Amino acid sequence: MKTTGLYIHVPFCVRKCSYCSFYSIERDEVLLTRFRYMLLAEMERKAAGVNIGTVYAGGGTPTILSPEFWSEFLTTLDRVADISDVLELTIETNPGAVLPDTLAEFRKAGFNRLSIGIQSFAYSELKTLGRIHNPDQAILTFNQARDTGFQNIGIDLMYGIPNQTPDDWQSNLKKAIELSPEHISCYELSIENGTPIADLVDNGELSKPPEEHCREMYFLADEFLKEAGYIHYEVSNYASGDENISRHNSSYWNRTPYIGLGPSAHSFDGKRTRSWNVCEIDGYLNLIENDRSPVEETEYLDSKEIALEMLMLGLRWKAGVDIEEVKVSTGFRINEQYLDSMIGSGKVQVSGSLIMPTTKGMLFADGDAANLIEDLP
Amino acid sequence: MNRSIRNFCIIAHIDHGKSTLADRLLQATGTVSDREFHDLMLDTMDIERERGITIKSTAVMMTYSSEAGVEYELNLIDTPGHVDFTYEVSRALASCEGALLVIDAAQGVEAQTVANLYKAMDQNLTIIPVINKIDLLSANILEVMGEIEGELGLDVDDIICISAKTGEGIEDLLEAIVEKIPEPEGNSDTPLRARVFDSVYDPYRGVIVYVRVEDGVISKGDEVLLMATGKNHIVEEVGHFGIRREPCSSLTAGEVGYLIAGIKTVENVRSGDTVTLNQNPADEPLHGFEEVKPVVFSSIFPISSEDYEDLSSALERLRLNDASLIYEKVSSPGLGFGFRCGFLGLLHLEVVQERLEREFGLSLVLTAPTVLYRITLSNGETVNVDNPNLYPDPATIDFAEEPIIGASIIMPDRYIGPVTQLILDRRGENYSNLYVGKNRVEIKADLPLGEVVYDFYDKLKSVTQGYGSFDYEPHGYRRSDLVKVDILVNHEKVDALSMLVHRDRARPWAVSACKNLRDEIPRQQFKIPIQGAIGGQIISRETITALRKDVTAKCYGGDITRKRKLLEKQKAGKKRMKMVGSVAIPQKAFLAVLRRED
Repeated sequence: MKTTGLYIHVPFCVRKCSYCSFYSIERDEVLLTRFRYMLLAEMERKAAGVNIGTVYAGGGTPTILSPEFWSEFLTTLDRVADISDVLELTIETNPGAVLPDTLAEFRKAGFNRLSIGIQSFAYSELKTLGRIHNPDQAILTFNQARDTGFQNIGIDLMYGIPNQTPDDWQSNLKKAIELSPEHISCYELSIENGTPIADLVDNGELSKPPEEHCREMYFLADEFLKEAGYIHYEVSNYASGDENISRHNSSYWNRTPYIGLGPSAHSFDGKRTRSWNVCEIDGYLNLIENDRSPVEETEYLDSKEIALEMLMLGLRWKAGVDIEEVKVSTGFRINEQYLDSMIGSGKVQVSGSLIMPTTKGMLFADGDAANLIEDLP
Repeated sequence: MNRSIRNFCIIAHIDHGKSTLADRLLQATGTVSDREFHDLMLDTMDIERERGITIKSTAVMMTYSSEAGVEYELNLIDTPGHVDFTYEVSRALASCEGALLVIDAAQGVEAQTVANLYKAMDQNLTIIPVINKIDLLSANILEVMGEIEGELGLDVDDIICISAKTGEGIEDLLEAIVEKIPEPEGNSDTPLRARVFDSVYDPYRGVIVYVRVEDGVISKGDEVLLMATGKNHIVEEVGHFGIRREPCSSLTAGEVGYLIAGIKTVENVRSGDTVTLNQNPADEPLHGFEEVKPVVFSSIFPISSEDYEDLSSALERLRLNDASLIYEKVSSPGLGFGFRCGFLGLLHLEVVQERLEREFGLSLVLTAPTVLYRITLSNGETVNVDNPNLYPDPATIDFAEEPIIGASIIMPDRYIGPVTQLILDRRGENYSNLYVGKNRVEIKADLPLGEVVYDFYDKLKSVTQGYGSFDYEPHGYRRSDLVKVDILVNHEKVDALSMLVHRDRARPWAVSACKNLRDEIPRQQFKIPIQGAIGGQIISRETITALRKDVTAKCYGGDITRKRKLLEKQKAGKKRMKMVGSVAIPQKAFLAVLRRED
């Protein structure tokens, strides 16, 4: 039986970063209090009787909520849901956001995996990104987390930051592996409309490094981290071993069910139903306080949409996609000619009916997924 | 009964206030109540309203009681104003006894006003000169009166000064219409002859035929014969034009109205045709039926080949209302099936394209508009080429000729410099200029039609800040150093973009075409060269760099739906692009190439 991932979106930040387009707001004690109650209420409603496999508290900054709250949350979860299969409980945090003692309490509350948003070890890069921490705090927080007993720590890094060169990126990677995290995410900065950094780019005050450099940085991470013993298992994700691949995030790519709690969080039934909560905190709180569902919209995927998702997600990661399974479960055929061209240009490897992207192939997962679906008249 | 009828039209240069005057007459005669009134009542099509131009003829009947206490039926036939639609104008003129020649009090007489006036005079219409916009601060009534007398040879005493905007002078004008315009001639006792001056298609009633009855009577129930096409129909309804159609029992000689006879397609109702009675036919049709000759040619292809049938029926529908639109099936190796179409001019082409896209929801690719070239082959044979893809092998060509027009441009003399430059840029010859009034100059020159159909008129308006007016007539053919420029995308020729141009024009055209394509074609996973070529010789080149990645960095729970929808949208968008080899070319890339940059 498939287990279900549980994601909790905490939309509060101490300060919003200049590149962030996610829904988050600055901390507000009154809203936080209401939010804690409503999150529990939503969880009791949605997770009741579900066999949970992973828990992931993200945001925003979920460590804005106290260890006591999370302890209560997980205790309640244990009461309403089946958590006997839960192997991975992750909480995100940012350098400098929590004191060592508090980290220990999060550990005690039940979280066994910590994801730290380090982004960069260079002061100037952090400044460009509008991060509130400095490089020393990043290293300190990591070490403190290790000391308090987190044996599974992931860190987020970013490349393609304005003015960043491939050499700068390499020194970031070097500092990262000196910490020996179990998991490293390397995200290329994308400039999203409406963010402060996008304004600076539009004004010409900042510009992304040239495309060739960004591509070089992608391959640099691949080579450098593989050299250091990491597996490049998804476009932007590396793990120090198969056992450290993010189980929770894997549920997104292999289309197993997940429940999303909190404003704007998405849920998926593992089959053909996706739904998402209202975006704004006020709307979210009001709906739950009035004993109504916070779900804003539900979509039911047709076979073609399912096929497209299977390909789009499968081509993102090492596990790949079973085209026979796509065919059997959706009735959609693969464009064999296009697949041949992908194999020919070294974008995928094939094993039976399984196609798995190479490092190069992952870069084209989106366009290739669309091209691979045979269009039925 | 005939005594109380007056049929007239309004001749005016664009923007001289024809539609506004029509509106004012409708209001003054109580044809439309103030409550029902909206501006530019007669311009019914969106495109007409937006562009301020009238494309089709319309008609409206007004009832007017003169000062002498006589009741008149006034039929106003509203005609198109653009130089592209001169044939439509002439068909409408033939249905009138009089014309209001509207001249802007600030702009004065324009070239096109003169041209249309001559057409009206050819039809022996009584002309009432009307100076409009006398309320403007810049109105120069005395000078315009001088022009009307000096340039047009009309009697100053006949001039009526009005402001269609404020209503000033409208009563005087109505009196002048009933006093000066003669009553229609014609005999209601002779066999029926009614002139078709336009027709519109009504989805519920079939073709509504606009007629001017010259002789005889036409009634509901009559079996009529259309003399040019030889088809019979039973008349279901006849009537007058109000703001809506107003059925009546019959139309008699002199009257303007409509008939409905279960006609399903205007293939059988050509403007200029004569309607007569099947049982008691007239001996001869009325004069004035002419096949319209297109001057600009372009092929229209649906972006998606599945839409071919829709395009076919849409063109058929447009042709119901537009007899001047000529088309035939064509097939292109790169673009599939489409239609080769002939147009009266570039505005006509744009109007057709816009209507196909707007009213029928089609996405189209149009090939570069071209004129009809005459090619003499080495073996002495002469061929007409209206499609660059049918251009003969240059090795077999002795010489090529291009159509020439005699252009007449009237403008205030301060614009002589820029207009002369424009004419030279467009390879004008036999240039002359002449003062036709105080500070007004008429330039005459021979210009290649191919240089005019593009955007000459727009350019002229821009260099003369709207004061230049333009009219032309065919002046035969002239030898030309013609070359065919091909555009290659990823080494494949895009036949929609091939263009016949004068050799001096080839490189600039190719350079701008390649640049526009580079900017509009989405990047692919491979590098795409874009080249302009004459035969095997490359004359311009651009490159679209390869796409280095298309994946998003993050794809977690909340990103999946958004990402999938984006891919679906892109995939759907690609369906609306034309595949040339392995490259998808969006519609706007084709349009961008046709945008000419001087």
